Amino acid sequence: MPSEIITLQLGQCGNQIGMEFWRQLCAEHGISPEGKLESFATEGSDRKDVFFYQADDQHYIPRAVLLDLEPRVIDGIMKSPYKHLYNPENVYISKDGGGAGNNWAQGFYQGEKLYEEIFDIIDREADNGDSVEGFVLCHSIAGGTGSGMGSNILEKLNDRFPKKLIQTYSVFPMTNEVADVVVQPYNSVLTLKRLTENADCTVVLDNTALNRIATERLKKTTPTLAELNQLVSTIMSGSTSTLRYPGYMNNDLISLISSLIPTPRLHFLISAYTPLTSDNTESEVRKTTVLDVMRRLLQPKNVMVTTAARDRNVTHCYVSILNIIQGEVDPSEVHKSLMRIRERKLADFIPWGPASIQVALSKKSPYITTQHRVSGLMLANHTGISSLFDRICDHYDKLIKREAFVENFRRLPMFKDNLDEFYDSREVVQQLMDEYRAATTKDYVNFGNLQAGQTEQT
Amino acid sequence: MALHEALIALQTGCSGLLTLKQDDPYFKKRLPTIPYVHQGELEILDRLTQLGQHYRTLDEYIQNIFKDKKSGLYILSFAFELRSILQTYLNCLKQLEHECLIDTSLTLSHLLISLTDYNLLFPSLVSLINKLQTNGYRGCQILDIIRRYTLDGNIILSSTMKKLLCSCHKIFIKQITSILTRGQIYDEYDEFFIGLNNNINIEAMGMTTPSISRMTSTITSRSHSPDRDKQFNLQMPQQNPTITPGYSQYQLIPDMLPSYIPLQLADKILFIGESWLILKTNDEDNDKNFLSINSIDYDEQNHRVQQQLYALTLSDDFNIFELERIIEYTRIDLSLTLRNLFVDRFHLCNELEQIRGFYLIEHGELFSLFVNRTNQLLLNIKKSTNAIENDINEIFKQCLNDLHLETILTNVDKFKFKLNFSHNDNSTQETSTGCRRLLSRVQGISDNSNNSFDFWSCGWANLSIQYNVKYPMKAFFSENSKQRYNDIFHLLIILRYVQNELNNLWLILKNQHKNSLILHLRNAMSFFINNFQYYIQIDVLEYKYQQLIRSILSSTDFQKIKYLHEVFLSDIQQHSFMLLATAYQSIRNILSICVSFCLTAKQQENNNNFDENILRQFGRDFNDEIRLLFGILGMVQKHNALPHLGVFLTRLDFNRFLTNNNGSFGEF
Repeated sequence: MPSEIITLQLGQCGNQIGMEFWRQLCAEHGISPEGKLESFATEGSDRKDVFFYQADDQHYIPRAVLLDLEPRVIDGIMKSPYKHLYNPENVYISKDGGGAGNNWAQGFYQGEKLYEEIFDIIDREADNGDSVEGFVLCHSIAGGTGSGMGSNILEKLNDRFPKKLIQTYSVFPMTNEVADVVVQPYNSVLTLKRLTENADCTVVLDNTALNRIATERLKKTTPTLAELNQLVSTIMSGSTSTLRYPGYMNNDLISLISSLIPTPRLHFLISAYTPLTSDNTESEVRKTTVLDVMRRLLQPKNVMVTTAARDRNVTHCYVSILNIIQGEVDPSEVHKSLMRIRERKLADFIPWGPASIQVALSKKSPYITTQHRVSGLMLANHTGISSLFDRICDHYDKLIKREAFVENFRRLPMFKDNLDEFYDSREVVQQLMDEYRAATTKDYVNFGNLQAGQTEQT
Repeated sequence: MALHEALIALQTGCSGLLTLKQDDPYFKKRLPTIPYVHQGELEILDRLTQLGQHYRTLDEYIQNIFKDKKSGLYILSFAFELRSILQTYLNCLKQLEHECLIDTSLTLSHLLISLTDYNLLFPSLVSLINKLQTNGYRGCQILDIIRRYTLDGNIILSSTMKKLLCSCHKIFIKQITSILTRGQIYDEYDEFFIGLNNNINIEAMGMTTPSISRMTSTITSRSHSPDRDKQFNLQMPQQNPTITPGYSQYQLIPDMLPSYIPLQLADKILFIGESWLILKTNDEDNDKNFLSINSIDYDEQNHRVQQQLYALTLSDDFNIFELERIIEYTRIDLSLTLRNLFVDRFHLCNELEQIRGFYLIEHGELFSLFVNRTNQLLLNIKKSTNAIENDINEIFKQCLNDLHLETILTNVDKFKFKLNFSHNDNSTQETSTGCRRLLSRVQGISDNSNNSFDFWSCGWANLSIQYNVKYPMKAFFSENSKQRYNDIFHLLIILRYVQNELNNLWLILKNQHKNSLILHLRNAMSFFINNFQYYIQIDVLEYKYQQLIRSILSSTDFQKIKYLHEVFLSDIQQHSFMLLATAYQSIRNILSICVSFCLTAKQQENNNNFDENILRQFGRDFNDEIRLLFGILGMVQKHNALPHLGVFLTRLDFNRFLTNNNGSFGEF
């Protein structure tokens, strides 16, 4: 089956959102928790084979690899109704089961140690497909396993499969209050370096924003983890809907990604989804026209990343936007909406190249009833993402100035001799932020060349 | 004495006194003076002689017609009617002779007065037959001529002419009746305005619009095609030695169509004829008669039509409105039957769905895969062989299997990929400055990069789909419409190929992690291609297609459905700029610049530094074409000629980058 996508779920957070993602996919494709095709779903033009393959007895198995250093979450999955869905060979829990202790270095080190075993699974899974198009990695960048082992796997994946796409769904930690993990900023910065250098596309899921959206949009005072994960899985399933319900265009990952990411480093995407509903509350959104949907997608309060519109005298703008509109849509509606958005100047775009709101029309799953005629997902490349990195760096800078909590890192080989890796990662993130800021100006076209020139001179 | 002479002269055109030179009717030779005839009477005699001469001309004409076996029914009928007019003339002479015998004191003037009508009539009859003879008018053509003569203020003249016309109309109506009730052409002498279409490749039924220039080869068609016509004439009979009248084999013969029969009406008659053919022709595999699907009693209905039409011939005045009414009535009936047959029984919409699947690339994932797998194969082909075509078709089937689309695109056997390399490539390029510019450009590049490559002669630019349409869908999908579908396919598949190449380039460049010129150029190209593709596939094709399907399902009139389909095709061609030669050329140039760019970039992949000059050259060429295209489309937009064009321009210029940068996509 061509252009398959292999999903890697890492750590507590990664496995939780991964779990939610597979639950959603099964529901959309009419696959039972055991992997059996439901009787009502035997016909259909959906492509299940991008994310699933069929076992000898015809039941569907996700192309998923579940990895964790501690057994808690995966055990939970293995006790859920979906326990028979996954290929047991693809479920890997580190034998010592001690976890990474929220320590990036520990996770990275474990990843290094378990490299052979992990990549046996990944290689097998990759050989299982006809032509695997890419990998999707779900993880959080704050903890130990998802961030540390994730970083390690990212580096290795990139080496091993240079022509494959690597997309990540990365959950960014809350930055506006005291973190439950004190070394969170360290973990984040160290992971950000790998995301910058080794991933091709990162969909940023900002926990702060997820909480805010869950609170505001879903009328929840304290959203549960499951509800937050459901938001994430909505984004994940929505952004892959054109692959699974193919239409004229955007039927492979590359065409989605290449139109969003003009230069390799600016690959951190923000996302938005509307209308959002949760299981037990009726949505207050009653009317869904294409224009409504597209307009709401552009509203900052619906975006799953908290970004500043302006910072340090920079007016941020969109590099590119892709709206995936699901449902019965008349193409002319899309056009009218585009015209309106353009007239009202609802979106600011880069000044250094052509850009527009790309629209991909996608079918809805026939097996899930929604109250809404149209729903929409936005994936966008926005320079404002740098303000999120900025906040992380602020926290990081405060900690590293005092070299607080670095002992736990020094214990591991990477930081035994020095903390260079910290400074190096911080530098990479700084360059990334600089590049994003440069992308708001007309001179961005010459950005890399100028810098290269400068470094040559010095 | 003079009376006697006159009477003879009236019949023969000459007498002892008055002779006209036989071989020159207009040269009168008469004794200058005759002693016992008054000069004034001589003048009258001259006129009477002239009348007689006319009579002789007409009579000879009739005799000739009767002798000639090939003159055709219309002329024959005309001659019969003419003879009866002459007969009345002779009767009149007989009457006069009788009067003369009784009353010898009658004057020549009496004769002249008595024959006044003929004095008027004969000259115009003679002029009529002269006209018919000299121009060799025949069949339905004479209807027009005669009708022109009926438009005369003189009642006698016009009523006589109407009689003549009426006699011809009897034949006309008979032929119409035949086609209306049985779908047969009763036409031994090729006189009717509908004839058998011996050349299957020409327009099929209902097509009266001039064939729209082939977009794939605007230049070829411009450089004109007498050769092609010749080829058709030579080839077709060989391929089809025995032509049995089948569906969609009638055609209008414009020369034969009387001007007072509206084209629409003729179209309807043609449609009815062909409908009968469809209904009566039995499929080889399917021995059912389609007449049975509707409970209408056709015999009875035909009988009624026959009677109504017959009633038409009884009146002198040809009642075109009544004819129109009868024909429309018959047409609606048949059209409904056909609609039911095609839409309900033969699932026209499914057929269109298949066509959308193949020609209009509905299943993007399928063609992406296909493009990926045949990428190199088609790129390196310069000429077509059966083996290669087989390979391509096999690969396609494999793709279909791999994506589990066999259940959706079920008609894969009907659609075959073909490679049609045009042989006169060189001449085509010479005719187009754009192409030549491009060629030299590509060659210019090739000096530097060892890449002599003309995209338009490779497999990708010459891939087409052969749609083996089965009975009775043949009646719906004419060769012309297939050609137009192929034209669209040609554009779509190239777009997809270019897109695929640009995406591959992205994959190659992604690990370089450099903000480089090549990336920006790739983005600009990709931006254009993606937006153009979206515009064509969604804004135009999908929108128009949905419209078509909706109106097909709501219509009860097969002819209208056919018409809508033709409109659909020309709409999508127009909206994809195929009919705007300059814009389309520009788009083609853009496409080939993109391809050259990708191929060159791929070659440079290993040594990693793309020569910046070549790169900038690509960028400038690309920008030039974009600017040109943007300019042309801007002009078209001003005239509001294409309602959907605004969509495309908005997309391209969404952040007003093109406007702010003077129509270019960046500085290269």
